[in-house]
Amino acid sequence: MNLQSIDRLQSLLARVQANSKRPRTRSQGLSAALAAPGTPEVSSRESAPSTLTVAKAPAVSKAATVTKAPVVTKAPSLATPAIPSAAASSSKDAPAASASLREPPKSAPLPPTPLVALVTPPTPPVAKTSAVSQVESLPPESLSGDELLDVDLSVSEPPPAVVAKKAGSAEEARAPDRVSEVPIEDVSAEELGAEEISIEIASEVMLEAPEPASLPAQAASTSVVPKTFTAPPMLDELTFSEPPPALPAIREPKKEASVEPPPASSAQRISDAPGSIDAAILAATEAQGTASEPEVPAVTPPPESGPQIAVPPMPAPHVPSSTAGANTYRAVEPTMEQLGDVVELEPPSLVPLELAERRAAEARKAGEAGISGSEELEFVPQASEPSRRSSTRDPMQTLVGGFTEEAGSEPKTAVEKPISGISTEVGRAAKAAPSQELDFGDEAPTASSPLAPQAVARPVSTRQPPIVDVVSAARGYRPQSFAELLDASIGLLK
Amino acid sequence: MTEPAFDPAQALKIDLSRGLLTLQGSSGRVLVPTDGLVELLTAANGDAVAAFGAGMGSEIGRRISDRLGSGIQQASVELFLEHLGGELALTGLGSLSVERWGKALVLCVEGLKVDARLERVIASLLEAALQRSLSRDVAAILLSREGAVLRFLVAGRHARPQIEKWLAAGIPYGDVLTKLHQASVAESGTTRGES
Repeated sequence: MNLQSIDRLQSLLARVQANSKRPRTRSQGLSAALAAPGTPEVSSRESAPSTLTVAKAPAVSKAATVTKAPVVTKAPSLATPAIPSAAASSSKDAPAASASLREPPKSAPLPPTPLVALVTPPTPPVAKTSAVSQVESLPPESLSGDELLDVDLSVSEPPPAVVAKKAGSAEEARAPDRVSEVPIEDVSAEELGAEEISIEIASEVMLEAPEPASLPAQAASTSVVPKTFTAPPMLDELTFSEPPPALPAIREPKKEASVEPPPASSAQRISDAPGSIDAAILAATEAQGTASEPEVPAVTPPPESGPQIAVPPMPAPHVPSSTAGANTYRAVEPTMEQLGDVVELEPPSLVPLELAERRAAEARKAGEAGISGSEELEFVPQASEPSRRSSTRDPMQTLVGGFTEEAGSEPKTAVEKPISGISTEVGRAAKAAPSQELDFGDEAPTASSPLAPQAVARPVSTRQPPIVDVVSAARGYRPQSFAELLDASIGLLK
Repeated sequence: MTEPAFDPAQALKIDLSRGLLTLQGSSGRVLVPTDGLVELLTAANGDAVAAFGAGMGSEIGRRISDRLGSGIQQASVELFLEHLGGELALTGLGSLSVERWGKALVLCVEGLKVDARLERVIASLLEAALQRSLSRDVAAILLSREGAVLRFLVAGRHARPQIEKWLAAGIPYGDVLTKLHQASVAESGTTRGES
C-alpha cells in the first residue's frame, strides 16, 4: 500500500509546488501538506485535533453505523472511511458529541505522544498557511523513499484532512462555509488511495489519541470507529434503498440547528470542485442512481421540541385543496358553501291533514256502526277481571292494529302520537295517520304500511265487564279539550 | 278556525360551523349517548334527577304554550298530544300516546330505554310540561311498565300518595283506575246528597 503511494505522493508533490504560488485556502494547504511527504507533522497539527475529536466521541462512533448522511452512505467505496465523520456531522443523538465537534480543538486535550505531541492547540488559518509554506520550502528531492515510507506508516496525518473533507467531517459539516472553500483540485481519490489512508488515520487516531478521562474504556474502544473499516461486508450489505434507521430525536438548541446546513448542500458545494475526491464521491453516488433520492434531513425535530415542522392536516372530504394543505394544526373548518350555514331539517312535503277531516271521518265511521252521537257506552278496564289480576298484560294490546267493535260500542279515544321523530316525513306521515287509523277496517294500516308504525291505532277496549258502578262515573263523559280531560283526571281522587 | 299543527321542520338546527345544536331557537343542546345519560342519572340523587326532567319539561311546556297561544285551554286532546308528543320526540325521549280510561288520563311513552332513572326523568318532564303549558299542578305516576311502554297516570298531586300506595300493594293498575272512579262516584254521591 505505502509503496504504491510513494509514486503518487511524488506526483502530488509536484502539483503542490505548482500550486504553491496561488493563494491557498486551508484545504489547499492540507492538500499540499498531504503532498509533502516530509511534513506530516505539520498537517497533523492541522487536522489531528478535529480528527481526534471525531474519533474520540463515543456517540459519534456509535452513530457511524447508523449514519443518516446521504452523501456518505451513498458513496460506494470511498464512503467507507468517511462514514464516521459524516455520521458525526449528522448524528443528533449525541449532544455531547455535537458539542465537542463544535468546540475548538483545544477542548480536546492531546497527550504528549510522539505523534500527537506535535499537535498543538488549533492554529489559526494564518499559522496553517505558514506551516504549509514551510513544507513547500522543503525540496522534494531531499526525501528518500524510506522517509516517505516512514511518513506513510507512522504519520497518517495528511489523510485525516482528506478524510475529513471527503466525508464531510464533523467540523466541516458543521461549518459549511469552510467546506465550501475546499476545492480539492489536486488530489483525486484514486491517486490518494483515500480509502487506505483513511484507514490508517483511524488506526492512528485510535492508537495515539489518549482517551479522555471522562470517557470509560468501553466507550473509548467503541469510539475508534474501526467497525466501519474492519467489517466492510457489513457496509457492503448496506443498501441505500433501505431507509436509514431513525435516530432518536434529541432536543438541541435552536441556534445549533439553525446553523447546521443540510448535508446535501455541503455535498453539493464540495462537488463543485472538479477532480476532487468529493467530486469523485458525488460522481460515484450519482452513478448508483441514488443522487436523486430524497435526502434524509440531518436534523430530525423531536416531537416534543418547540417549533416543529407542522404536519399538514388530513384533507377533509369536503375541504378544498387550498385549505387541505394548510400548514397548521388547526382543525379544518368547512366552508359555508360546502356545508351551508346551518343544516336544517327538510321542510314538510306533504299536505297536512286537517283535524276536521279526521273528525268527520270518525263521525262517519261511527254512524256506519249504528252508533248515534247520543249513545254512550260505559267502559271499564279489563283489569278488574279475575284473570287480569295476575297478569300484567294490557287487554288493550290485543286490539292494537285492529278494531273489534261490537254493536252498541263506541271507540272512546283513539289518539295516537302523531310524530315519532324529527324526520319530517315521518312526522308528516304520522299527521296523516289518524284519518286512516280511524277507519278501523281492513284498510287499517299495518306495519308494512308507509304510515306505520305511528299509524297503528290503539283504541280503547270495548269489551267491558259488567262493573256498572265504576263505569257509571264516566258515563256520558266526553272531554272537549285536553285541559278538560286533565281536570277530570285530576279530580278523580280529591 | 285552523288549529296550529306541530311542525317539526327546522326545529332542530345543527350549526356545523360553530358546532352548536339548537332546538327551536332555545339554548344550546348537547347530543349525549343514552347510556351515558343513564349513568349520570344513576350517580345523581332523586331530587337532581327530578330537577333535570322538570327543566326539560318546563321548556317543552313553554314552547307548546307559545305555539298554541291563548287557545291552549281549548285545544283538543289530539292537538295537544300532537304538540306534546312532538316535543318529546325531539328530545329523543320516546313517543307519546294518550289513553283515556273513563276520566283518567294516561300518558304512554314508548321507545325509551328501560331504566328507573329515565322513568323518573320522564315523569318529571310530563309534570313540568303540563304545569307550564296548562298551569295545572299534576302528578305523573308510573302505572305500569310493559316492555318498552310506560304508562303514567296524570292525577292530582294530592292523590299521589294514595295511588302509589295501591300500586305498592300490588294492585294492578286497572284496578287502581277503577278505584279512582269509585272514589269519584262516591264523592259525587256524597256531594249530591248534601245538596
